[in-house]
Amino acid sequence: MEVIFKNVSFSYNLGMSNEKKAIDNVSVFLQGNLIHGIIGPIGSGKSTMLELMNGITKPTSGEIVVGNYELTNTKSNFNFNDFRYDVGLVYQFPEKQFFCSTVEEEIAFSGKVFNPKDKSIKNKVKKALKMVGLDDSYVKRSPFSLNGGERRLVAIASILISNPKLLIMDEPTIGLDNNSKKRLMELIKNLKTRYMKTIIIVTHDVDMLYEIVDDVVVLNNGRVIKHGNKKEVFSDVQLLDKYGAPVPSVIRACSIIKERTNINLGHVKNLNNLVRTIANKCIDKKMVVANEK
Amino acid sequence: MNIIEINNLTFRYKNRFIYDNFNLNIKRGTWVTIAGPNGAGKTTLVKLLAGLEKSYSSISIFGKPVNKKNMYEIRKEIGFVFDNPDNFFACETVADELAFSLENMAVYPPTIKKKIREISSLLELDDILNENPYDLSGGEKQKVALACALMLEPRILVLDEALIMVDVKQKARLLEILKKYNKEKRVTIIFLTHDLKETLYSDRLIVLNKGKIIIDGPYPKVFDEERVMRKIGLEVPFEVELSQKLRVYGLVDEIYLDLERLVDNVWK
Repeated sequence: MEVIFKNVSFSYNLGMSNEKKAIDNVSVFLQGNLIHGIIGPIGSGKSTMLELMNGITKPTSGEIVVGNYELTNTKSNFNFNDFRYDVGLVYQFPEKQFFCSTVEEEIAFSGKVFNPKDKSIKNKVKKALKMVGLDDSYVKRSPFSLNGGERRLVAIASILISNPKLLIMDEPTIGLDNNSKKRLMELIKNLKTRYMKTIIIVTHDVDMLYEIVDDVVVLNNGRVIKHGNKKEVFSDVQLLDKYGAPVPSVIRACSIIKERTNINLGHVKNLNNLVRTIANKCIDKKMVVANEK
Repeated sequence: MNIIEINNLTFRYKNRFIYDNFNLNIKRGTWVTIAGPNGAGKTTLVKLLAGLEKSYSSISIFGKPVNKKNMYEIRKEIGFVFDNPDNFFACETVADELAFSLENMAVYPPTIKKKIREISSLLELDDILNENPYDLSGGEKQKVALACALMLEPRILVLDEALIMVDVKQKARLLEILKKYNKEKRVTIIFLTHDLKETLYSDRLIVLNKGKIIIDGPYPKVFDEERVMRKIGLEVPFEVELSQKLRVYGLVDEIYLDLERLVDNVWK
């Protein structure tokens, strides 16, 4: 399910003295069945963009196309219930909205919102749990007895029960420890490859993003300053620095090495890859020095 | 002098022990980071310090046991900042929000205005003073929540995942400002986090796991125990992990917290 922004602008408090332009004439095409990242400094319009593509707020001008749905500032010509079914939104700290006494009830609740008389709800709960990598033993447990990472997975399962084609996530790894974070990253990759979903992630955690994302949009002051595949976007360290956008640690290290030693390490995928590349370069250098002697 | 003393603290939720015979002393003016994975007991500790959970006098702050009788005196001197600022705001502008607590204490209005100017320039909030706090981004909201705590000039500042929504650059800047504040005003800072990248300015780092202190030492020497930290699910700073892995190849012989120094040492 692709997302297209056509000359979209959005202002808070429109027409008032404290009017604030959050999105400024943005045109961007986010291809389906990929993981997209949206990054930028605080106040750059990331969360607003996310709310716009989820239909929570309507654009002041321009048009947003999400799959077959067109979102403009006029009345929509489609059933919003269908749209909610197809587009899942995972808020920051989604587990803070828990209120049921078992995991099953918690996940079933959001499914029942769409179809209160759904008889296959139990099966759907199990399917959603399976999607996030939790087994049936969680069904009768209290969501409040789970650890932080498991709670996040249950919260995501409650969104996945409607089997949305597009999943929008706002800071999905926020507040998670390293092990839970790795588990969640695996889940996101799995949702794309196995369940063919389109995923859009808004985050500051670029180290996580660098490992899983395909395309990246960089925002600053409500404008898109760069959009492309991750290799292309993250290798432009100067541009990211200029606009205060975060740079993945691995790329930062490569840039410092280039600056101080003039050695270009090329494309480095992750930390282990970086360590091996540095070791190879150093061993090469030592052999050259030994041969020269 | 110990500003906080915890002796033989035992606390449980129903049948689950969170703390069992827990002891901790914190000296005045230090910046102590308490790190731990999800479920280590960090937020419970904050609740106990704030008197939101009963500690049956096993915690003393400023030499006074935390109980109903001393609560007002103790809370007056402690600033708490939590991870979710959305639960916190009550006013229509940031300036009103900053003034709120001092107004309730009947502080002379010109003094409040002066204090607002001081704190907003310290935390670089001048541009957003007239904005509605709910229109701000998550990171800006957290900065305002921190500013509200500083308005009361606390002797102890407890920050529970308080910079979680702030982006990397702003976070580095805020940590720098807080360090200066910590040194100049001798404010004790208790910084709770699961992210060891935020520990850069700590004097002391304590790692909690399942209600027990498993690592306690001065920063950055504690990172010699990096493996233990990673094993319990903590994310160590990138520089520490890189140094440690290069150590295996014999390319460096110590842990560096500065990438430039690390690179210079590999290619020396």
